[in-house]
Amino acid sequence: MAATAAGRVSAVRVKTVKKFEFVDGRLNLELDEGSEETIAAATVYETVGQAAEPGLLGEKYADLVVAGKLAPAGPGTYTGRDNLFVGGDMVTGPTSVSEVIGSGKGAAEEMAGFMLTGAVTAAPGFTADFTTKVEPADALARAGRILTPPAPREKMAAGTELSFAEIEKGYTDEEAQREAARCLACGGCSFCRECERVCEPCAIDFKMRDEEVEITAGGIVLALGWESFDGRKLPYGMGKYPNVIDQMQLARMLDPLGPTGGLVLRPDNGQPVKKIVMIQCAGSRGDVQKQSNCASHCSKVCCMAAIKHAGLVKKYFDEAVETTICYIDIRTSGKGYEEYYGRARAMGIKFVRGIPANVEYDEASGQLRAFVTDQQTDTDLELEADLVVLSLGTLLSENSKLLNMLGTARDEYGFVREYHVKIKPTVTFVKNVMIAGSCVGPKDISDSIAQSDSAALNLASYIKDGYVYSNPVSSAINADLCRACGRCVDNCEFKALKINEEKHCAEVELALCEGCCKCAAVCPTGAAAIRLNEPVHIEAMIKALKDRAPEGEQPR
Amino acid sequence: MSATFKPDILGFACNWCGYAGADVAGLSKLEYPPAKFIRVNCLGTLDILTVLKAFREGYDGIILTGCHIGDCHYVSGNNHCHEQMARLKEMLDILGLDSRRLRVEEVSSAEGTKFARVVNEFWAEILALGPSPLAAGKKAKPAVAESAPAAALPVNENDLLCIQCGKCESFCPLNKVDPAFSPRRLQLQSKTSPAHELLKKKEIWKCLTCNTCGEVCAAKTKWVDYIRDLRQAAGPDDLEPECKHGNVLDTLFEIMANEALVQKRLQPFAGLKIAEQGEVMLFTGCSVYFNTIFDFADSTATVRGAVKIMNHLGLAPVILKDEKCCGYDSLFRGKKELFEDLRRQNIAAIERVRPKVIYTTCAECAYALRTYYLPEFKGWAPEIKHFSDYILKNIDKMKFKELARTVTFHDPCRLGRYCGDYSTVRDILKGVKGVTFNEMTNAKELATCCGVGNFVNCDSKTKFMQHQRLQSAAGRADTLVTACPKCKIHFKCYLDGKPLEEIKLNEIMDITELVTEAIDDGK
Repeated sequence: MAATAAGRVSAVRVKTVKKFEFVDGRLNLELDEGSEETIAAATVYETVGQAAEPGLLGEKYADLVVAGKLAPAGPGTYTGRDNLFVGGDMVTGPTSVSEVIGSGKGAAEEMAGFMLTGAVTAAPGFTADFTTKVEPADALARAGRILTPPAPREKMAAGTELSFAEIEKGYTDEEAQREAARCLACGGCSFCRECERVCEPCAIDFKMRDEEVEITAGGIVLALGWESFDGRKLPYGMGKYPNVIDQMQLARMLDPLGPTGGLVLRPDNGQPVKKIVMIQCAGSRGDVQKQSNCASHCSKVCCMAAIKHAGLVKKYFDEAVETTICYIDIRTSGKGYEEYYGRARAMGIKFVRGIPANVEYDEASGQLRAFVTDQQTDTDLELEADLVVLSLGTLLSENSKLLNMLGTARDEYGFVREYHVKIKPTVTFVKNVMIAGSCVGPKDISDSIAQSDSAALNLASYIKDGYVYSNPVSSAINADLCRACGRCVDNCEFKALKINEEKHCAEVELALCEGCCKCAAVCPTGAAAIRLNEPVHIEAMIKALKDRAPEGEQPR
Repeated sequence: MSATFKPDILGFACNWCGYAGADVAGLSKLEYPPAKFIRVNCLGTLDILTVLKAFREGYDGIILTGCHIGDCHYVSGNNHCHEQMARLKEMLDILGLDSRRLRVEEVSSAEGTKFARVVNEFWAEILALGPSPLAAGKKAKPAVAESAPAAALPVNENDLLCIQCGKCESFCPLNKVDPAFSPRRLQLQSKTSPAHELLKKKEIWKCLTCNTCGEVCAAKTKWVDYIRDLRQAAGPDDLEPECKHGNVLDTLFEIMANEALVQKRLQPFAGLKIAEQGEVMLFTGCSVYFNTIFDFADSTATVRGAVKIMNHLGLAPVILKDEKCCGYDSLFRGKKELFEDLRRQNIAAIERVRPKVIYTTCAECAYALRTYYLPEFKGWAPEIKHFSDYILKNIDKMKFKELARTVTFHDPCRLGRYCGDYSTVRDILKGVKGVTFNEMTNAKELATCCGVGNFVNCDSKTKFMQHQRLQSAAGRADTLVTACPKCKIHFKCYLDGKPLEEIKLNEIMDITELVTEAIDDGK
């Protein structure tokens, strides 16, 4: 620096820096000695560097200070004595915020381990030793980023690839865990908010916090939908042979905007399909088929779906495609459905009464073969197919946690049970929970819509007044007798009873009680009784009737 | 059958199906015999107690008509009813009433013809079976004294002895959980309150009759006997709180007391060697019916175990086929007449065999037979012992296999404080191979009661007692052994539906069961 006579700064002499690096956490500069030049300046601001202040530990630990820094004994943060752990800039010299956070976390983990086990082990991932550099290239080579399978839309459109993965579904549990394991443990987010700034769709919002939202509602309509039977459990090679698909996948192929743009192609080689065999009741009607692993109910919609798809293949893809539908019974009940079936037969779609025993794959020709006995002619058929389409049965989409929470009963088929099959098909046993759609049983779209309308109306009429009429015949708990054993709570189908832990007795929610009296029957102490239907009433009737002769007769 | 026999049939019809089916039968002008139907909301309302009470009244047959399985208006009421009635049928068979007298039918609201048909069929069946034995006996001798006038207060012999020291109160286990109950205070009130007030006091029924007070009383008062007399004076109408299990037992005792009834009570001993005459008798009392009433505690295993042990030693014990309950519970439930009736019949039955020694697996029976039966035998008397005495006497002759149990012993009130026997079971436990015995807290003289006495005082306070009692065993043992089926029942009732881990005990069993398990019979 040059100064004037008055002692003021007049200029700064600078040299070019040839090399700039941190060695051992300290700045190391290599200057070009011949490059000196002078810059005129009236004021100079000095940027003060950082330095550790190990002195605050006192004389006792002076030997820990090496070259102005603290040195832990091993690779971790433990100094080797007096339960003293060190980390951060004091150890590494000036470094980034995330590394300092990391070493703090590492120290915390090691201290926790030390307190629990008495031994010090360096925390994995968090190491105070940043001198060993991990080259980014190595890290990536160790485990590359797992990408969610992208939908090959363009390839599908071009016809070069066939896939039903039309939507990017995100990670599976396993993939997510593998991806998380790639974490470099760099220490943590320093809230620099750079990501928020660069994210174009503004997906990142640092002000957001986890919150539980409580929604107050008078009732709930459950429309959980369905999921199809797992076709891999059947002897038709689903999941083994690529050309065995289900009706939903065929429906996607037939969609002009679908994976194949409306063409029905063999999934293995992308060639147009010539022969299709459809297998009905795959996973349904187990009792009829003597298949214990199948559901016993009829899935109701598959006959129409199969006929529709077979017709669409002929109509919109290729009239020459031979389609055979193997069935037990064709169930096309309702207006117009029977005619639709008739038209399908007229189009030349073959119907074989009989369910194939198995499907085989011929490696040489790449063809599938379904073996079936035609029951109408009593002949064994060997049906060759490019594509085997399974009409998979419908099951309730598994959501038992939610159903248990709501207390709705399940029927013997696993669907949500309705209050009454005929007269109250949209109401459950829990009065303010309604049900609609396929979670009640297999249903087509029009039925689902009709039922959801009904459910919404039922719920509206239930909540519109702001009050409900309770049943005059309803449970009443005598708190003096109740010993809170919980038998009534376990047995109540309507979730009308609960244990009040504070008062140590059961309580009735009158709005939910239906007055079935089961609680009174299971109560061991006689605390639960039913208004208007108490045991003393019944006993009085028993006694009164005993002494009364039937009309016109003398008592015995 | 006499030509004039007209069955008296009671029906229960569920409001939604059975009763509606009867309506359709009526509208269709179908004929069916005059069964008397009571409409209930759901067949699930009917428990064993209600139907058993109807049998006690003397109905020849009882028919239940309700929804088809799966069609219950209340989801599962009919399933529950079917389960209950299946159990009751077992009991009816053992009682000798014949399970065919009870029928559960599924009749939907549209099945008028089915309704008429099943009632017709049932009528014909009952016609063939003949009148219920209970119908015949009932008129001659009503089982319950009807509307007896308020009895005078019993003489309280404790008046002269009690010094109001309050020791009873400080030791009373019930007082610890329910301070409203105090033997001392009630003793004081017995002198100051007018009869009608005293007899209405709930405390009379709250007492566990565990006799802890009698054990510690400095003045040797007999508190429990006074409670017994007070309850008789108050009469069973005031029986409160109402334990359903106890009421089933009560109804069962009244049915048993009917002399026209011929029981088939040897059924549970099928496959075991028993005798009709002999020197050693096993008194089984009401335990053969326990499995129907207390489905959560296998009590028949205890009496069966006792016979197995005797068979193992080459002895076929006498089990009376016309034995009744000892009546002890009735006595303490304020039904002295019923008790005396049962006692008279039991003594007559025992006199026909004249055994030298009577063993009982139940501590209550042992005490009742010793105290209330022995003075009634004229000119001879059997020796009365708890079955644990038999085990201890013969323990050297038994072949044991190795068990792996850590046990503790809960002293039943009737065996310990009443009969003064604290050592027998402990000695047995020391003699069984592979059993480690640890004492629980409050053992022997000051053992806490299992929480219920004579099925009259089951409430949340006593539940807490049971909880504490089981907790005091937890950690010390994996098996809680007792010597009275009632203790086992009350503990298991408390645990019904609860996981055993909650109390850290694997099993609650009778000493007889434990020894049966340990016996190596070469299988």
